Amino acid sequence: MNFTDLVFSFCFKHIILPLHPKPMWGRQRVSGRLKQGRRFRMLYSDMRTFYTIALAAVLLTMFGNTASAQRWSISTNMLDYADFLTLNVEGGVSVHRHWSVSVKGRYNPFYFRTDSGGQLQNKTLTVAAGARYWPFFVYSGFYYGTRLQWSRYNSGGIFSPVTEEGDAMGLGLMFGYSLIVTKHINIEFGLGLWGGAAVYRKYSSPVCGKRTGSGVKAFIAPNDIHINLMFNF
Amino acid sequence: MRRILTRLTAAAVPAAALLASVSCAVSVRRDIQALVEDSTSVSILLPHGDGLDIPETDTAFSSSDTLTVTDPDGRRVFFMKGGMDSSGTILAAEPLQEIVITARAKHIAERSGRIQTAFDINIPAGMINPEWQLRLVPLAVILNDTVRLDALHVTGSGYRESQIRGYRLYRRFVSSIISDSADLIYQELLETFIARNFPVLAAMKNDSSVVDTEVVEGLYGISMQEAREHFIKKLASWRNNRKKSRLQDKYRQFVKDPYIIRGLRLDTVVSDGSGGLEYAYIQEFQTKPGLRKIEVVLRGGIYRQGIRLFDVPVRDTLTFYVSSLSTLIDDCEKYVRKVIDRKMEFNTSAYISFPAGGCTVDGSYFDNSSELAHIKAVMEEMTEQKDFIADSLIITASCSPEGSYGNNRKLALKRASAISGYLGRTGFRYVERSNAEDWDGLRSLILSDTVLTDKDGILDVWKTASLDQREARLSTHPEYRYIKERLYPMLRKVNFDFYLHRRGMVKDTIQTTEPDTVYAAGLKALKEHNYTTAARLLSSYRDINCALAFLAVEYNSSAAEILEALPKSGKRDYLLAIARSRCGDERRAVEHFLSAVRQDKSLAFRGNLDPEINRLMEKYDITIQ
Repeated sequence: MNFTDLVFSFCFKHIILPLHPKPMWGRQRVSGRLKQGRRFRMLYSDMRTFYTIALAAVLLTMFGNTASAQRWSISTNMLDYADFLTLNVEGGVSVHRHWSVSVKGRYNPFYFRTDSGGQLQNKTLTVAAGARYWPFFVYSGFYYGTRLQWSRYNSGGIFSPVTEEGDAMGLGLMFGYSLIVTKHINIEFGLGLWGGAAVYRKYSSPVCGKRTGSGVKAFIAPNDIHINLMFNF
Repeated sequence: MRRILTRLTAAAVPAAALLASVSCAVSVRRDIQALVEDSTSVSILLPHGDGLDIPETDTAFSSSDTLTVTDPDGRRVFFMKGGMDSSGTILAAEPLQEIVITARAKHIAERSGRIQTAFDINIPAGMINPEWQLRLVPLAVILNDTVRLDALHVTGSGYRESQIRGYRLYRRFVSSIISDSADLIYQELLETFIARNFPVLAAMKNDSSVVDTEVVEGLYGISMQEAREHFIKKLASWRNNRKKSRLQDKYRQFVKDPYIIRGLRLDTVVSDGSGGLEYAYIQEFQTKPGLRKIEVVLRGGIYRQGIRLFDVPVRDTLTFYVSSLSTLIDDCEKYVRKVIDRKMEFNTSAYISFPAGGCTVDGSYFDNSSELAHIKAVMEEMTEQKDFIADSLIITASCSPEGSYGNNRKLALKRASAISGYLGRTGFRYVERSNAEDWDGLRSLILSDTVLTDKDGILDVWKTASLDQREARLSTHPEYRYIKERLYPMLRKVNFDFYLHRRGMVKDTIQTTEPDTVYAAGLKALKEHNYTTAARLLSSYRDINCALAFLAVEYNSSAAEILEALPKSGKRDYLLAIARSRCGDERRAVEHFLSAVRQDKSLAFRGNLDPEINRLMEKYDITIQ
């Protein structure tokens, strides 16, 4: 175990796990004692991927263009809140007149009881790191973006009781327009697609369902349909 | 909805206009056909009455129409309007009502270099229609030139309305073009962008210091120009530029018949063609040498939407015969006396530099080469004069006051002889002189200098009589250094005085006669009808031509005064008659006219041409057999 591994295990134990009051991928609780188990190892390796991406993005932003001034931004997608209250935040920085890089996290730990006693949920933990190309100028006008995204999801009970959980990894492309509103505030409109591979498990119902299938599949799905409210520093 | 309505109206208006214009065009064609069938035309007539040729204010005619004149034989003669009855008896005539005679020709008099013609233009009712424009242009044939006089336009009200409508449409198009470039930029977006990305400018916003916005760079080196170009409203500005490029086409499309403003005497708008129109046209011309008559014809056409539909037939030609006083010029040449001197003098000076204390002429020393070249050039010019023979050349060299006066005098003489030696043998006899120390020259240099401050203090040394002591005193003055360096060199010059005499002349002065160019110029001006100049040039000669020039510029009393002093002749009496007639003294005018006719029969016919005489002839019924 090298130094980075130590850092990751520490972060996971003391930052990520306390954020999860319930495990979001199954019916079993994760306790501290499980940390040496299979699930811990699984989660740990995923987390490591995420942190690698995030760290790469941060290093890129901080040292990519140290000579010139940078413009930092933080934004949140308001449409995501309509998606079962998915919390999300994206931080970015300009690295060039036409380029900016960003990292994004989405987090939805919520499940909802229905009147008929059922449950529905669209839980997710997503991290992504990407870059945007701005034909005119960073944080102004049109942009094209690409991102590398990892997502752990558990979604079901919305249209049918069939529930799917799994881990997806893939690449996304998007396109949008950023409107300057004030000196510090932008509103961005855009949409995108992402595709990749997912390791999934299917259950017959959101709670106490029978596993009906599992495996690895390729997917392509809409992604990042957004109306971002952005603050520019 | 409202926009759709507007669109509909916008489409309906031209459609309605088209319908209206079609029905109009039909009626206009019918009216034109009627004109052709009736062979209607516009007539051009001489005006009734005779009041236009001479301003009434200039003449004060006696109320009586009977005149008593004393002829040269001392008999008293009565003049009154009369007629002969069938039996041959001459009876005095009673003036009756004025009879209008339609004449095609008329005599007009040229006065002060100008001719005033007057004629009436009668436009019949059929020529006037609210839907068209009648354009009439009088043309005057003057010598071989046809001069287009100012036109008359009779514009129909409908015609004018369609013109106005065209202009309105064009103006609307023009006003839709955005002229303020700021309106073609997303100004607010640009300002926010600048506030965010041009920290330098943002910081300067409340600062009075001036920043060159074209030089300032924003984040990542973006320039103001790039930012501005990005926020241009591209579509709007493309449309705007397209509109600008189509301006000419749109003008032609909307304004089919532009207003005519220049070269117009009258533009009247008529709403119905029920009555005719009469216009009294007065036109003044500048006379030209040899101008005897002016012919006036009338051309015209009927226009609709700027297109000629009908030519007004040309019928009448009016002829105006012009009489000018300048035909009475006495063509003679005058001479003036001129005194010629035998001797001629000429002087020039040169700044020829010598080395201190030296007296050899060195062509390469300072500016000597150009100064010596100047002197040689002058000498060559002098010796090449054919009329003159070179006598002597006095060379006067002067020195600056430095050193003793005696030395300077010797030095100056040596220098003068060095120069005469340098110049070599020419036609001149050299006389060398010295102006040892040019104190007067120094004094005037000091007075005209602008740098010296204590001029009074410096000039005080002139009180010292001894020149050497004076120089010593001057050298103690604080400004001596400037004087020595700047003014002294200008004193070291050589004056050349040339003396020549006229070849073959023994007496000191000779008187010759030469043609008087001033008088000739005055006469030429008179012939060219340039009367003001003629009067100015001839005024001192007080002869018949001078009187003529004065008459032409209406200095009638002065002219009469000059003429009275001249010896009696036909021309003189005739001019005097005109002058008297103009002054209102009819009795003496007739007297002089009769005297003129007695001496020169042809002047009787001339009398018909000059309105001043013609008036008298008609008034008192003077007929010359």
